[in-house]
Amino acid sequence: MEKPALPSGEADRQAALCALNLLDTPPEARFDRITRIAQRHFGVRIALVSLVDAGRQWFKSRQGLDATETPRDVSFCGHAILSSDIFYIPDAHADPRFADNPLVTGPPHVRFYAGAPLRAPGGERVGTLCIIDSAPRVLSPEDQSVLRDLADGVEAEMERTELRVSERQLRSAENRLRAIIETVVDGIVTIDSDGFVQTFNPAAERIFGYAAVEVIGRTFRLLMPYADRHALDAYLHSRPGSEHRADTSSEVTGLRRDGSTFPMEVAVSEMEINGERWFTGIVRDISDRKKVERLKSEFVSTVSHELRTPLTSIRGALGLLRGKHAAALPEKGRHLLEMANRNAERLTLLINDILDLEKIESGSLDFDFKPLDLAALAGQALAANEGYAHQHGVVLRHGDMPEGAALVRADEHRLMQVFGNLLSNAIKYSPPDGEVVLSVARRDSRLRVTVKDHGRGIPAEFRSRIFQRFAQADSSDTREKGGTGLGLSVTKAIVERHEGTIDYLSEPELGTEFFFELPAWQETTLGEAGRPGQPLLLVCEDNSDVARVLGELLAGEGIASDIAATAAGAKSLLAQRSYQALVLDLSLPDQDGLELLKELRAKEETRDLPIVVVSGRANEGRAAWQGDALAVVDWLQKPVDTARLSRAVRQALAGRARPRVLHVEDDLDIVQMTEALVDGDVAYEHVATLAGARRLLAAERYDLVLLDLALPDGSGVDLLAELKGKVPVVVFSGQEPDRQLSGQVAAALVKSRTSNEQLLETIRRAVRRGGRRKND
Amino acid sequence: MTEKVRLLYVDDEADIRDVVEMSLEDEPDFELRLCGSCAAAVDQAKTWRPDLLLLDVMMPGLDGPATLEQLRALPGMQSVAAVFVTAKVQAKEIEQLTALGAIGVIPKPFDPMTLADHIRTLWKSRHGG
Repeated sequence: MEKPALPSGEADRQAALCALNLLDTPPEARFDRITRIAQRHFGVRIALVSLVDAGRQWFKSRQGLDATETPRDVSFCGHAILSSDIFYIPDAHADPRFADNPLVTGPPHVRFYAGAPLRAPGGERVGTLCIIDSAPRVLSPEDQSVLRDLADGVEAEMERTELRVSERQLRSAENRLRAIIETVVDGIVTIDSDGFVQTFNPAAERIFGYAAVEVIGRTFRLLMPYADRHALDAYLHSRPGSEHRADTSSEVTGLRRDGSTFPMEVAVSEMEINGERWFTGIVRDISDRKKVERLKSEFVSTVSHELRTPLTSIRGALGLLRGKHAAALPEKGRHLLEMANRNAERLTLLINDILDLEKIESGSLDFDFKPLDLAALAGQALAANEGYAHQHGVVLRHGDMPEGAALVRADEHRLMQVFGNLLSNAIKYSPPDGEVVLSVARRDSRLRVTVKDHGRGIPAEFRSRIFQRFAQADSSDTREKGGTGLGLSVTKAIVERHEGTIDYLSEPELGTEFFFELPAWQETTLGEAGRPGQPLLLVCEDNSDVARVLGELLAGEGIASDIAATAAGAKSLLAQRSYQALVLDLSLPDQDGLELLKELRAKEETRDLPIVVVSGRANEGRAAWQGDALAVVDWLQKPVDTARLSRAVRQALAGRARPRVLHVEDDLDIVQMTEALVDGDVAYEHVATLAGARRLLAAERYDLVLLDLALPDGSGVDLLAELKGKVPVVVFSGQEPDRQLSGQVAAALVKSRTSNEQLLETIRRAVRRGGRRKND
Repeated sequence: MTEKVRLLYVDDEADIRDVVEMSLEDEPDFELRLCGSCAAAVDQAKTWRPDLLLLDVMMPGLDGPATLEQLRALPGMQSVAAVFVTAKVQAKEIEQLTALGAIGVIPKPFDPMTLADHIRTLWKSRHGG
C-alpha cells in the first residue's frame, strides 16, 4: 500500500481548510444535495464531500457511508488532492497502490474510486468530491466532466461559507462596536465638517433630552447656547495640527431640549472617512462634578469661617493675657502662654493657607495680571521680610539682579506671597548668623528668581513630596519651625498660575536654593520670518496668551505676525517695519487703545493702515469712537469669533472696509444660513428682537438692515417707520409684502420664494446703492 | 482727638465682645458700648448715638449688613461710619462689605494688642485726624 504523499505547501493548505470553517460542523443540505445527485447520477454506493485534514479525512457530506472520518494514511482522497485532475481508480484490486488498502480489503470494500479535487478560494486543494463503488467501473470523459461540474458546485458552496463567516464576523464586530457606543455612559456625537450632526448615541439622547432622529441632520449648534458656540466653531475652522486642536478637551455649556443648560466637558477628535472630515465629540455632563467642586469649595470656606470665630476668642484672650498680664505670671506660666499663643497663630496661618489653596486650585481666585518689574518686587520682598530675618538672626542680602527692567506678567500681591514664602522658609532653616541671598537672572525668554540659604539642606528622599500638602522633611519640623506645611503647595500653585515653574537644588549641610521661573514679558516679539510675499501683520495685545493664539490663527491663514504688548512697542515696530494691517486690543498697559487708534490715523505713515480691533471692550470702543466709521475694518468683541476674525483680516488685507449689515431675525436657523451666505462680503451682525434692534441702531451705524416682520416683541413694520431714510432696509420675511411696504424699502423678499443667490444679490445691490448715496 | 469717639460694637459671640472690651478698655480715645444683636444695637443707638459702628457680619437673625441698614435708618445716623469685623476674609467678601459703605474691614482673628491702633487709623483716614 502506498501512503498518500504530503502536497507542497501543506501548512498553507491546512490553514485554508481551517479558514473555511467547515471541519466538524453539522451536515448541511446544500452539500448533501450535491452528493445525493452524484450518488444517483453515477449509480454508485457512496458519494462524499471529503476534507483532507492533518491526519484524517473528514466528511462534510456523505451518502452510503456511516463513518464520519477515516485516517488520512489509508485515504484515496489524500492522493486525489495531489493533482488538479480527477483522481480515478477503475479497479483497486488491479492497482498495486491500493490492492492491500484496508478500505479495499475490508469495509467499505472499495473497488472503484473517482475524486475531483475541491479548491479553497485561494486555490489550495482542501478535499474532494468523490464517488466510490464496490465493483470496478469505467468513468467516461462525459461523466468526468459532470463530476467536475458537481465539484465546482461544492466549491461555490464552500466560498459562500467563507463569505458568510466573514460577514458574520463583520456583523459581530459591528454589533460589538454599536453595543459599546450605545451603552457607553458618555454622549458620542459625530458631525461633518459643516457642523451637521451625523450620529447621536443613546447617552447623548439622555444628556441633551433629544431623540437621535430629532438631531441628526441638524447643526450641532442647537446643542449649545448661542454664547458658547464660538469655541467649537473655532475648532471646526482651525487647521489640522494648529494649537487649537491640541487642546481637545474643554468645558463648555450644553443646551438641553427643554432649554435648560448644564456644564459639559467635550473632547473633540477629528477623523477622515472616505476623504471627508468628520468630528467626534465625546460629551459628558459634569453637573455633578461641578456640584461636588462647589460643595467642597463652600465647605472649605464655611469651615474656615467657623474655625475663625472661636480662634478669635482664643487669640484675643491669649494676646490680652500676654500683652497686659504676662508680668503677673510665673516663669512657667509665661512659657505655657507663649506656647498657646504661638499655636493659635499657627492655626490662623493654616486656615489662611487652606483657603488660599482651595481657591487657587478651584480657579476661583482672580489674578490681577500686570506687567511688573521682578527686580523691584524682589527688593520689596527683601524689605518686607527684614524684620522676620532679624528675629532669627539671619542676614538678608541682594544677589545678582539683571540689567534693565525684568518684566513679567504677574499678580503683585500673589507674587509677593511667593517671595514671602520662599524667604521665610530660607530664614527658618538658616543657621544663626546665616545669610539668605535673593537674586534674579535672565534665562533665555524666562526670568529666574533664586532664594539661597546655607541651612542643613533637604534630604534627597523628600524630593518627591516637598510640594505636597502638609509635607515637611521631618514631622518635628512643623513644631520646631512653626510652618503650616502648606506654604510650598500654595507657592507652587501660584507660580503655576503665572505659567511658571518652581524647583530647588539642595546639598546636605551646605544649603538649599529654591528657584522659580516666569516667562519674561516682552514689549515686542518678532514672529518667525515669513516667506517672501507673505503678508505681515502687527498684533498689539498685552495678554501674551491671547497674542499667541491670535498669532497662531493668523499663521493658519498663511499670515506672518509680530506682537507688541504695549502701545509704545506697537509704535516702535510700526516705525521700523512695514505691516499690511494691525490687530489692536483696546486695553493696553501704557495707552488707551482708542487714543492709539486716533494717533495712528493722524499720522501720515499709518493713516491708511487697515485696523481690526479685537478687545473685551470692542463694543464699548465702537460706541465711543468719534472718528471716521470706516477707519476700522471690524470691531471684534472677545472672546473672539475666529471665523469673523479671519474674515476681517482677509478684508483688511484686501484694503477695504466691509459694509455692516444688521439682520433683525428671531429664527436662528435663518440667521445661520444668512451669515454663512454673506460670509466675507459684509460684516454681519444679528439681533432677535425689535428692542435689541432699536438699541443697536441708536448706537451704531449700519450700511443695511435686513428685516424680518414677525418678531417676538412686535412687527418689523414699526421699526421701518422709525428708520425711514436713515439706513437702507431689505425686508426678508415669511409674509407677502404689501405695496405700501414695498415702496418704503430697498427690496422686499419672501423667505419661501427667495433663493440664496437672490438674497445674496439683493443684499449686495442694496449695500452698493447705499454706499453710493453716502458718497454723493 | 479731643472728644472720645463713641464706638458701638455688635457681635453675637460673648467671648469676642469680652476680648474687644478688654482690648479697648484702657484707650483714652474711645468710649465703647457692646451689643449682642441688631435689636439691642438699635435700642442702644436710640439713646446713645455712636460715632463709629464695629459690626460682626455673621450673626443669627439680622446679620451685620442688615444691622448697618437698621442703624442708618435711625434719625441722624444715615452717614454713621462703620467697620466690619469679620471672619469672612476672602477678597470678594471684603469687596462686597466695602461696597456697603464701610470704611474698613478688620479680619478675624485680630490681634487684641493692635486693635485700638487699627481702629484709630481707619477713623483718622475718614476724619483726617
